Amino acid sequence: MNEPPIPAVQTFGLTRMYGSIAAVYKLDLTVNKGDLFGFIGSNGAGKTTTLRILATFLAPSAGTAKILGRDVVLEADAVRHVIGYMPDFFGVYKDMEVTEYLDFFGACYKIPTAQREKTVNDVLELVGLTEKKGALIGALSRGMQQRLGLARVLIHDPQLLLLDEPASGLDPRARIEMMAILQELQRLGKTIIISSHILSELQTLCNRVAIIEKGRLIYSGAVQGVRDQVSQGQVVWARVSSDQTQATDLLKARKEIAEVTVADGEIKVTLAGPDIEHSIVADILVHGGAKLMELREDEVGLEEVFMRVTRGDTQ
Amino acid sequence: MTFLPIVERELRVAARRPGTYRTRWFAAMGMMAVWLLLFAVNRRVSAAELNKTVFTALGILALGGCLLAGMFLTADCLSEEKREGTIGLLFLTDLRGYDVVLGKLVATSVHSVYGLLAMLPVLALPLMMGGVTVGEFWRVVLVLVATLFLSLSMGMFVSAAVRDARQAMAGTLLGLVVMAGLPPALRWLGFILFHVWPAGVVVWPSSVCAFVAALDAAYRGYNGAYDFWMSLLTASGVSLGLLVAAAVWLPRAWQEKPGGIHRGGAVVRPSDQGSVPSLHGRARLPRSPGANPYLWLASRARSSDPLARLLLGLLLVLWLCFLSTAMVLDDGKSAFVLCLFTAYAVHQIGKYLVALEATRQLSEDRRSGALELLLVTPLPEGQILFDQKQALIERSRGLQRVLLLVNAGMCLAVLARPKQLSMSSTDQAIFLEIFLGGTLVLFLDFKTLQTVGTWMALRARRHHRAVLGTLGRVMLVPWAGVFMLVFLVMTRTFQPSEIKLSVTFGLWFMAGILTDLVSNARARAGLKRGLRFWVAGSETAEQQTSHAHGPWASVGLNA
Repeated sequence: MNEPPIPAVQTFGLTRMYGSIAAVYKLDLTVNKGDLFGFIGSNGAGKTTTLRILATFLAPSAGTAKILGRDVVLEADAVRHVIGYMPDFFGVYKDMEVTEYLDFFGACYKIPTAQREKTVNDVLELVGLTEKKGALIGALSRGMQQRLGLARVLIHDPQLLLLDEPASGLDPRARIEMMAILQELQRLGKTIIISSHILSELQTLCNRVAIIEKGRLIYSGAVQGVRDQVSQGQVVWARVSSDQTQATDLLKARKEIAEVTVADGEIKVTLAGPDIEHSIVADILVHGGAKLMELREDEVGLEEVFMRVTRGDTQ
Repeated sequence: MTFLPIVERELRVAARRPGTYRTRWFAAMGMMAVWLLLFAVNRRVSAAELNKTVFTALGILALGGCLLAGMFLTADCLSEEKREGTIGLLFLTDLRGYDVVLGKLVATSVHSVYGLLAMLPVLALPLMMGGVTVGEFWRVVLVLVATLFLSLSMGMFVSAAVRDARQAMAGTLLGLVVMAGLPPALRWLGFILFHVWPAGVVVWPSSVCAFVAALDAAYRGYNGAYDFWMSLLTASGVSLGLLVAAAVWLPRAWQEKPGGIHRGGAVVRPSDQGSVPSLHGRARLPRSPGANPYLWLASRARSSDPLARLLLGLLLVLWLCFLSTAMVLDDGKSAFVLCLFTAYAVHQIGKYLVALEATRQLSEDRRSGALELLLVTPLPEGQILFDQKQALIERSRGLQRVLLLVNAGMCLAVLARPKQLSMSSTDQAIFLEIFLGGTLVLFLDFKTLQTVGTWMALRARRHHRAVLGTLGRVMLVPWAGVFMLVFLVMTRTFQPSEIKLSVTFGLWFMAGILTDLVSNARARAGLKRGLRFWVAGSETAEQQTSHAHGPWASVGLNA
C-alpha cells in the first residue's frame, strides 16, 4: 500500500505567544507539495509570525510545525536547507554589488565556490536582473530590490518558498512580472506560500488559500471551496429584454426562489437552497414567456470572501 | 515660524518617554553618590578647601558629560535620517533647514538638558556649605550650559554633513577635541618651548579653559574676567555658527549625489565603479566570500573612517611633539607630563574606536533586517560570532600596534632621559610599571570591548547606544579610578610614598583587569543565549528564555 505523500508544510496546534497576546493560536495548517498557497489576513493577524516560525527564525510557544516532514525546531538546520524565506523588508547590503550579495548568500548556503557563479547567473536570469549584475544594490529601484530578494531566496534551489508580501510597494507592471515569476516557479515544482494583501492577484495565482484572523485559522482549502462556502445562498443574475416586472413576478411566485431584486437593470435571483439547479431560473422565465437575454452565476471574489468571513479584528 | 510645532511635538514625545525621567534620576543620584564619596574619603583639609575641591571635581565630571553629549545624542540624528531616506520627506513640506535642525536639536537634547539640570542642585551643595562663591557657581553653570550647547551643535553640524554613523560620531569627537583640547595643548607647548604664555585668545574656544577661568582663582587673576567672558562668547558664537551652518547645509546635503552610493563608508561615483577603490586597507579581500562568509562581510568596510584616522593622527602628532620636546629639552618634566596625558587620551580614543567598530556590523545588520536573513540560512550562529571576532581582531591589529608604539615611546623616554625628566630610579620603576601594565590592560581591554561590543550591538536599539553601553561596561571603572586618584592627590588626602604609589597603580590595573574579566564573562553568557534570542526582540526574547530549556536550546549557539 502506498504511503500518503509528505505535505510540504504541516502544523499542529501551532501557537506563538507575546506575553499574554497570542499572535498565532492553535494553528493547524497543511500545504501540499507543489501548491501555490495564499496566506490571507489583516495586518496583525499572525501571518508574518507564522512564516517566521516556519522559517526557523522564531520558536513556537506550543505546537509543532514540520517542513517536508522535518520539525522546524528539532531539525532547524535541515529545514533551512530546503526553505527560502523572503520577509516583508529588503534586508540588503546597499553597498554591495548584486552579484556580491548573491555570492555572499550562496556561501552562507555552502554552495561550492566553483558552482556559485553559474548559480548566481541562473537566478539573476530567472528574476530578470541579468543586466544589473554589476550594479550596487543601493542604486536599484524598489522593484529590482524585491526581485533581488527573490533571487536570494532561490540561490540554494529550495523546495519551499515562504514569501511575506513579495509584491507590496511594487508598481502594477512589477507586480504582474513578480506574479509571472511565481507561476513559473510553481511550474518548476516549487511549493510557494505567499502572504499578500492584494487578494485579486492571489485569486488567480493560488490554488489553495488559508484565511487567518487574530492568530486563528478561519478557513483553509481550495479557492473555489471558500467561494462556494460563502455563496451558499446561490445567487443568479438574469437579464431580460421583455417586461422586467412580469419576469420578477414569475420568479417570486415559485417556492424554489428565495428572493428577487432588481439592480442596475438586472434581476438578482437568490435560490432557496444549495441543491437547486441554476437552470430553473431559465425554465421559469422561458416557460412564463419572458425573453431571456443573459443568465450568469454570481462571481464571489476573494476580496468579498475575505470581507465576509473575517470581522477585521486585529490584536 | 514652523519649527515650534516640531519642538512641541518632540517635547510631548519626550514627556511620555520613561527614559527622560530615568536620565534625570540617574544623573542626580550619580552626582550625589560621587559627592558623598568625595566627602567620605577626605579628612586632611579644611571644610572650605574640601568644598572647593569637591565643587571643582563635580564640575569636571559634569563638564566631561556635557562635552560627550553631542557625540552620543546629536551626532547621528540627521545622518541616520539621511541613510534611511526619511529626511527628504520633511523637506517635501514647507519646513526649512533651520526648522529641522532646531526641532532635532530639541528632540535629542532633552535628556542631556534634564540631566544637567538634575546635577545643578548637587553642584550647589558646596556653595551652601561654604568655600565656593555665588559668582563662581553661576560661572561654572554658564560654562556647563555653553559646553553642552557647543557639543550638541557640533554633533548637529557633523550629522548634517555626513551620512555614516561612524563618521558622524568620530567627526563630532574630532571637532570637540580640536575645540576643547587642542588650544590648551598648543598653549602649553608654546610655553614649554618659548617660556612665554601665548595670548589668551588661543584658548578662548576651549571649554576646558573656560571652566578653569570660571573658578575664582583664575577669574580674579590678571585678565581672568576678560578671558572668561571672551571664552564663553567664543564657545557660544561657534555653537551658533555650527547650527547655522548645519541649517544651511542640510537642505543641500540630504540628497544622495547622482550615482554616489556609499560603499563601505566610502562614496563610489559611477566613474569609479569600474575600478572600485580598495576598501579593505592594504590587505585586499577576495571578491568572493570563501568558507567564512561572515568573516568576509565583516572585513569589507574600511578599518576606520577618515575622520577617526584624522583624530587619532592629530593626537599622535601632539603626543610626538610633547615626547620629542621632553627628550630634547634639558628640563623636559612639564613636556613629559603633557606627553603622559596625551598618551592616555590616545589610548582612550583608540578604545572608543574599537567599541565603535565592534558594534557596527551587527548593529547595522540587525537594523536593516539582514541579520534575520542570515539567521534563516544554515550558517551556524557560533560561526557568525566566531567570524565577527576574527574580523575585529584583524581590523584592530593596526591600532593596537600604534598604541603599543606609544607605550614603547614612553618607556624609551623614561629609560633614556631620566635626568632630563628629573626621575630617580624608583620613579623610573613606577613609570615603567604604568606603561607595561597599560600594555597588558590594552590587550585585555581590546578583547573585552570586542566581546561586549558584539553583545551590545544585539541588545541596543541604536548604534550609538551600543557604543555607549560598551564603553560604560568596560571603561567606567578605570575612568572612575583615574578620577578618584587625581581628586585624592589634589586634596592631599592621598600623599603616598613611592611604594604606596606603585601599589596604588597595581591595584588600579587589577581593578581594570577584573572589570574586563567580569564584563567579558557577562557578554559571553549573553551571547551564548544565541543571536535569535536578541534579534527577535525583547518580548520574543522572554518567550524564548522559557523555551530555551527545551529543544530550541540545541539550535542556539551550539548549533
